[in-house]
Amino acid sequence: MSEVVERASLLDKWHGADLKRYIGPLLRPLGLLVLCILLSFLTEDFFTLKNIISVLRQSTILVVVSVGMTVVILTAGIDLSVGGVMALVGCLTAQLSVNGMPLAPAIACGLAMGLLVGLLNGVLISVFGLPPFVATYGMMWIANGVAMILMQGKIIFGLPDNFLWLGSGYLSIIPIPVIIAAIVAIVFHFYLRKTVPGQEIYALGANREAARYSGIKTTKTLLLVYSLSGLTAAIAGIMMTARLDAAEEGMGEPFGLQAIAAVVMGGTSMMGGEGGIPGTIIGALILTLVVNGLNLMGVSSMVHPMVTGAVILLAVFFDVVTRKWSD
Amino acid sequence: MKHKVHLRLLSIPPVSWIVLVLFIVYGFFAPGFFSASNLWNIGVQAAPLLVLAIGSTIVILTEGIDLSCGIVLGFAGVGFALLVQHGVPVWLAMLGGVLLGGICGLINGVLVASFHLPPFIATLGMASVLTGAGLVSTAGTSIAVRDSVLDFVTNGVLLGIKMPILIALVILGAVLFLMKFTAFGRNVYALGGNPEALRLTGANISVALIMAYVVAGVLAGIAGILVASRTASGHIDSGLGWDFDAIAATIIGGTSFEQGKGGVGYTILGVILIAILRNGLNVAGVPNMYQFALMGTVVLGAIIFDIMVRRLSGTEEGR
Repeated sequence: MSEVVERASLLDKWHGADLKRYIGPLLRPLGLLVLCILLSFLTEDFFTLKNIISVLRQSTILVVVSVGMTVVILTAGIDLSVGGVMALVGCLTAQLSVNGMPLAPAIACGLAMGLLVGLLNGVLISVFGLPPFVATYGMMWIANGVAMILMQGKIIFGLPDNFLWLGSGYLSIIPIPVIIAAIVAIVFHFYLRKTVPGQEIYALGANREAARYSGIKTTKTLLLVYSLSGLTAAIAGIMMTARLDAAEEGMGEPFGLQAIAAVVMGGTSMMGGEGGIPGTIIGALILTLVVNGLNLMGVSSMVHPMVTGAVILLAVFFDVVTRKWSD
Repeated sequence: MKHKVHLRLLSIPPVSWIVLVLFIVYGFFAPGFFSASNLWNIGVQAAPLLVLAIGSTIVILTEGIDLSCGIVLGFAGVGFALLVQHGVPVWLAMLGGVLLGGICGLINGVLVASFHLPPFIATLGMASVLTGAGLVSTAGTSIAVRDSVLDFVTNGVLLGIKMPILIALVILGAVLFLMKFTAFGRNVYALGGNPEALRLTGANISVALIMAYVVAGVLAGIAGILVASRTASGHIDSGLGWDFDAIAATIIGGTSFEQGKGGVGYTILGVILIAILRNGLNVAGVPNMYQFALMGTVVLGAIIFDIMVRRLSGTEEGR
């Protein structure tokens, strides 16, 4: 009986969702285009190849963090620790390579650290049952705190050249960070869409109980999801260190909120089970362009948190409204 | 008989055992921890956190969360300092700061209750907006305030109790009264426990929810004034990380995110734990740099300990 009712309401949902399904996907690229046109009025040569590549390069760090955040939000979770992880991993790899460790092992250590913090998040959430925002918020303070201890209040400059190449090198005309971000995005997209564990992540987010009953190991999946988010935050932290040629304890701070904003603007629902990587990339590009535009207009960077905050509130509000609309 | 004793032992919140152990450990490792002046010190340091955590508890009882309260604390302090700087009498400026906190809470409440944003997103977004507003209005600097009233609020003694502690206790009493004997308290518990039943009684759910956030905002404003008075300045970052402490104190005190369980009275235990931890680290001479990681670990550990004890003792049944 209840199954019939559920199926009927599901059908209703599909009809109501038509508008959102057909217009929704177009809305975001359209928004991006409008923003580009607006910016082209504000600045000369916006639509040059050089500038487009430069904007892409600016967006790469946010894209990489947001890709991991997408996976977490697909399970109706949240990862507030990414800013802390970025700082911790950036500081760790910088410290190691300044002290003479070759590039590959230094980066491996950084990535392992990111995975470890992510795994701890996963354990707190799936084994101990902490609400995701409490566990990851606590982990953010711990990661930031460990970064502080690593740095002893100093800033690291002067990283080895091969490290810097990761942030400012080129492969013909394409910047290395863009290539890294593209690889991360493509791998995660195919993982989510074309593999069984990826599909299980969607299933878990859509309905945890149903996923459990259909044999999905929810604990294991959550451990994996938060580890992946830790990994992408680690990659982003290394990219940022390479880009800045510096590491300091507070470097990841703005990215936690920006990543959530990018994901939700990209159409991934906070309720889980719906959305994906392509939307997130558009969300991250829009956010980068907004910040870029503010810089071009000469607005103080102190205003940036206000803009990020307003954007995230609006984006989530839009998510909630369209959801109600289609119900 | 034995069974009864057993039950009674379990009904003591697990956190009190941690507090006891801490007292013993610090007694050994931090000479001077038990001196009267240091115990007063702990109380004075804990006072703003207690006020903040009471607000957090109210919000968490509604199955919400307030991640903005630390920034609201700083924002209220900044508002207060700027008002004084512009020649407003100190008492009035304090009221202004508290009012500012209330307005922030009102916006949080409207975002959650009327616009249906998930509470942690609404409050996190607000925290970001307020950070920007605070930075812009102070150019990121600390606004100094000098007045004898501040000295009284920080160091004054009334009825043999230091003012910050007295203020925090009076607020605790007032909120306990509100929670126990007024419609506000009943609504807060009903919002977490059974909002549908609350709707059927004819109460306006949105208004009840907004009120919870407004009260939390006002309390964050008061905590902000206490902190600004102690530091004789207003700075937007002065409450950075306090939201985590406040939430942690609430959870450690036994208020749960589900079904309106727990209460304001328990939170004081969590606050005492955190205040003792911080104070003990200071007395033992642990550099500030190490305290962030240490506190985060201990607080998460305490939350896990709490969850495990409750699970094992079966008091989580019926969840």
